[in-house]
Amino acid sequence: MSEALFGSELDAMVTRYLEELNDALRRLPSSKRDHLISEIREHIVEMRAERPVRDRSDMEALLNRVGLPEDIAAVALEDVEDTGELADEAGPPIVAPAESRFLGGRVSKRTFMIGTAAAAIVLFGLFVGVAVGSHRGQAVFGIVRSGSSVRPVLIQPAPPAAIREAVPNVIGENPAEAAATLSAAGLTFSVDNASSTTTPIGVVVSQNPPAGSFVPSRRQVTIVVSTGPQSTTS
Amino acid sequence: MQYMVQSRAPQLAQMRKGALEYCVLALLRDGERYGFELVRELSNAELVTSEGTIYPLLSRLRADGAVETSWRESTQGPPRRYYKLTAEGKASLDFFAVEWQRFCQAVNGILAVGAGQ
Repeated sequence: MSEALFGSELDAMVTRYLEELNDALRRLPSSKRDHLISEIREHIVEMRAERPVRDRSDMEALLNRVGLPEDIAAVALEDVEDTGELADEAGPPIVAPAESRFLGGRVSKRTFMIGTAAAAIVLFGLFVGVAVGSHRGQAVFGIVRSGSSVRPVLIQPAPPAAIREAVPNVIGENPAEAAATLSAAGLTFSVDNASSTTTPIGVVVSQNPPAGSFVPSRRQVTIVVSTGPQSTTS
Repeated sequence: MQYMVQSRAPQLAQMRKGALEYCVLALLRDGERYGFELVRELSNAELVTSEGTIYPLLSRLRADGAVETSWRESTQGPPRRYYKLTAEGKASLDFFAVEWQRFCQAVNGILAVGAGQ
């Protein structure tokens, strides 16, 4: 592999990390978000200048040292929540994802924050669902139709971000069940796919953090959904 | 037991976070520093594990008027954002330094009594 190609692969890891950070910071006003991301980007540049990153595992160690996007976002959002200056805009509309995208295994690395999509697929198999989530620090719910947008309805204040939640087990559930379980526990999630010879298509194979961990509210849990026995990596 | 230890962790994290803010101000007492330098010092002192979490803190200190920033050319690489302690930040740090000493002495005193019994 040429050095240039290798370098671009490492740059892509940084880009992906910053995208995840941007996603985690969605509730921050955009000027603050851009400012923070540019600082983290500069920090990574300095780290790379200080100690050359030779391969993927070096880069993973570096990004690990910078910290999980959710952890950085938790500090940033906590500071902003203290002063009550969350993003004025309502953010992207809450769109209920069509369940076929989950079943078909075409949703890869797609992240749904609570309040933007999470429990919209609670009523799995129907076109109508209930979205429960958090909007500008408040708990909201709404009736949604698959693919439609919804205006959030206020029910009660959401607990502060610092409160820690126990991660429930979602292994063996389908993505819709897992989404409902995780949002009920005050957590967000992202979906990844992996082939499995032992777990049927469309069933959660693994999760991270594991069940029983204590994590901050709205922490993202990655669920890995089986795409069946076919291998994509051989 | 493990649960009890874990359930106390957020309080420790809050204490750490509260003190961290003043550690940042203290690092700026003798002059300006750029973000990376600050983070590296705090990281080496094992006061932070996720280095990126310092930047939201720096933003907050700036919004509070405790620090101000300016861009400087760097001999190597892109320009750097330097942080400088303001008079307000200095006053806040001096106040904390006194209160912290009193707090430590009081807590140490109580801990020593507890250990002696």
